[in-house]
Amino acid sequence: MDQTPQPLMQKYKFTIISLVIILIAAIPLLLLSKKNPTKMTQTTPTPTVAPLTIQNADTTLENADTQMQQTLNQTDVDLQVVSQVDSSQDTTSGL
Amino acid sequence: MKKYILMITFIFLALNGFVMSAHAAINPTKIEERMEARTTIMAQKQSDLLTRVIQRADQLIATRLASLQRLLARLQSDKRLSDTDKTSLTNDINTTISSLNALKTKIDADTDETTARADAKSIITSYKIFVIYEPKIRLLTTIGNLQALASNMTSLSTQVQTLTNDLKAQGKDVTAAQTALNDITTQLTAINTTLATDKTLVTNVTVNTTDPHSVFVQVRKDLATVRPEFAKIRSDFATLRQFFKINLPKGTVSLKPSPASESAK
Repeated sequence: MDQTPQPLMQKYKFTIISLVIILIAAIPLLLLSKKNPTKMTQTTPTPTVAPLTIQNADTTLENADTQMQQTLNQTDVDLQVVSQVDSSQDTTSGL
Repeated sequence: MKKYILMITFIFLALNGFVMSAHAAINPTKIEERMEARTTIMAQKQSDLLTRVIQRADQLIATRLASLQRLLARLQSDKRLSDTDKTSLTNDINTTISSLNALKTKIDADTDETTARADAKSIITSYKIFVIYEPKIRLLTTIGNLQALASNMTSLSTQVQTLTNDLKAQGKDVTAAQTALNDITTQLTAINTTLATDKTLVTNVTVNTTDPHSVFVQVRKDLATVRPEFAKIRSDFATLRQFFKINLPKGTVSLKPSPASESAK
């Protein structure tokens, strides 16, 4: 049998077609990635504390005083509750 | 006469014995039935006893879980505790709740009264919810609140000191303000020492502590001494407010508080 050599295009036909398909498939991906670039790292702003000034000192101290009063009142309530805990419930008698 | 009476009694007893043995010989199944009935009654009694122990244990656990839920609610509503304290105490309570629920499951599945009774006792002895746990968590919450307050006051007093230094540099008389600030520092040092000691004392209380009550009483007394120390700081704040009002530049008005004090609420 006489075998004639195949042309290069004919020999790698399937490989070339596969590469073309891959390239076509990659186009939308490239376009989308351009439209949605990688999100930039978001940094949460560090809360800044305004310095105490002579103008806000009075109100600041008044608020701190109120805070102290409220906490001490809550402390009184909590200590009252502690003193009222019925420890006799922790008896094993009758078991 | 006596002889007759004795003879009649003997004959009567002999007849009685004869009749009974004859009856037993004729009806042997009745005795077996009685024995079986007795065994059934005993088993029923044991079962009833087990049920009663389980019901009592369930009741004990329910009371304790309700108490723990109240503790959790108290913690959730707290706006003063540091995140670390809040998380630590919340996790501790949740772990205790899980353990009690697991114990309930075990008791409910117990099949003999002795085991159920021992498990029911462990609801008390292993947890001591009312003798130790609840007072401990409540006191730690209170101490945590006061420590957070002391911390806020420390940072505020640092700011006040800076402002006072500025005014002093401007030639203002800061004697009264400095005296108040020094007193605040003294009070806060005493408060922090007391609170740190008490926190250690309370934290070290466990179910094995011999006399937890005395520790709790001591801590409550200590916390009562912290109150007048905070009262002194409040008095110092009044002095400082007066000082700042006097030194407020003419034509200016007091502004809203700094975020530092707002966040301290």
